[in-house]
Amino acid sequence: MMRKGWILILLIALPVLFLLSLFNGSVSIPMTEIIQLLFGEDIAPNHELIVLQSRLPKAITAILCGVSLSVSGLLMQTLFRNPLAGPYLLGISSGAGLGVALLVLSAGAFGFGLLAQSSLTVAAILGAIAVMLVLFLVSLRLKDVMSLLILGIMIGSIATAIIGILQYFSTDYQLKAFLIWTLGSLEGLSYPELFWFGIVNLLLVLFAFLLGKALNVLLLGEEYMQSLGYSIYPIRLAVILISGTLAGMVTAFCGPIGFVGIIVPHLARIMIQSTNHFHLIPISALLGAVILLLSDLLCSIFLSGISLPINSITSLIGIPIILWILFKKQNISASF
Amino acid sequence: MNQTILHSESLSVGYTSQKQVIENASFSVNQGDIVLMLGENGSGKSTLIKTLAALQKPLKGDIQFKGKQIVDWSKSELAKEMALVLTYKSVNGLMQVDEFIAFGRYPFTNWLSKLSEKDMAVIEKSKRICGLADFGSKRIAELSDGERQTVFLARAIAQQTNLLILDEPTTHLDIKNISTQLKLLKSLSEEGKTIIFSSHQFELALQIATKVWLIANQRLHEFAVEEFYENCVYQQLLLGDTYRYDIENKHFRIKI
Repeated sequence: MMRKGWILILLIALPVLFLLSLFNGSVSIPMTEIIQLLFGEDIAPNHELIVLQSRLPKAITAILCGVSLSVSGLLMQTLFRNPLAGPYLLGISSGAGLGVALLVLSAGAFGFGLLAQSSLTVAAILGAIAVMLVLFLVSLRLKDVMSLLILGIMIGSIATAIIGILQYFSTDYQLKAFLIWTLGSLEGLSYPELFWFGIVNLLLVLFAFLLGKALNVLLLGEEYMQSLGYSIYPIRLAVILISGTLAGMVTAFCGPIGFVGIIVPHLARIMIQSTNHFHLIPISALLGAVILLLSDLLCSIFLSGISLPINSITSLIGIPIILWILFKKQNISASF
Repeated sequence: MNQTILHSESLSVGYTSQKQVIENASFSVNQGDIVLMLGENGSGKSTLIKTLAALQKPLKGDIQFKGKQIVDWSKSELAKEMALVLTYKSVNGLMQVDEFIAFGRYPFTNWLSKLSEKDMAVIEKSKRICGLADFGSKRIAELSDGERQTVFLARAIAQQTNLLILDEPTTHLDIKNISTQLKLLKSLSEEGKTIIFSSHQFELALQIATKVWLIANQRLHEFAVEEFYENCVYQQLLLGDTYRYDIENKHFRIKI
């Protein structure tokens, strides 16, 4: 069957791509050494340093980002019953962006010197949490979930507007620092950061999976959901919490990474021909990890030595995939 | 005397206190009743249905459902007592008919929504009585509007509740399927189920109904079916001046 075939391909692709991304880089390290290293054996110290300090964190980051964005996007599409919904729909990443902008662009004014990556992360997390709090409070009062969507878009616009004003008053150096952040990067995460990213990611995806039944019912709309015995507000809050935290974490650690969160759930539905979240959540997570590893790998293979911003790559790879779906007979609206 | 299922006195429904859709409605529904809701577009049938199903709160008054106020029922308990078909029929086209009807079993399944043998049997039965026996593996997107309508009814039946509330279940159906569906509703009520439904196919629907709720000018008029044929005022309220009832041939004609 086609769906079993796809799952098998993904299950093979993930470890293969993971190994390839440890193998790939400007310094050539034999695959045998990498495998030895993974099994805890000693290899040349300089090789070990490159793999452990640069390539391995980057590969793990790619997997975590892929999983987070895909599951986050899937949940948003289900909550809003909208095929174009994605992780950034509710303005959470704009909030994170505003946090970073406030830090980077006002740093000069407050006399900060160089900005550490970790302070950017903290600023982004605070920004994302602020937006999520607003959404939480408002979602308890809104009857119609679509108003929430409009609110999210408005929060995003307000954040962008404030960022614009901050940019207008900042120096070239600050602008560049902020711009680089918006381009996204899978590099530079420390192991403690990866540890927390990983743990929170795992817990949230598990939480989403436990909500699988409610998410399936949500596909019928909130009225049928209530008539099948569910209250809508706890589910809404849970979905916003999971999806928002996942998207916020990615934005905080790696900057906004586009497209993955919108296309992966669609690809997953088409692959397994199902709308059941007990299948869609694991498949989306797997597929997201594979696609992000692949994007990163393709980029460095075609442009050896240059590491392009991940945000541009995912868009460049994402757009052809969307076009491919649109032109194939299985169009998005029939599978939604 | 059959048990009273729903009862209400001076109930007002609507969206804000400024805009009452129906005022001071009083009604009472017994087990086995088939209540037909009639009324013009926009008269408030769907609003009343949503209020009965506890999807929205009444503006004034309360509804007694099985002797307990409807707002005091927990959602999960209510899901085992009443099933709903709304006019809103948008659902992911990728879903299979079997999967969709299985939603009717969700109030009874565990967190993984694992279907027991009994659940499967219930799904098979509701497909069979709705004439959907061969539709199980079809996807919603492949269905016609009429088939989709029937699938929504099958889902509600699979919920195995004593009360079925159906908002315009005859829409999109051809004449043959309307009568098949009405016969099905009749046989369900003979099994002891209570049905409340709205329909614009009033001539056909009146043939199976035991009770009429006529909603006009923000009022709900409750009466037995026979009264509709006898009472010109009721006919006038629903049909205006464009129809007249031919008493000899027992059918309605357009006045030309």
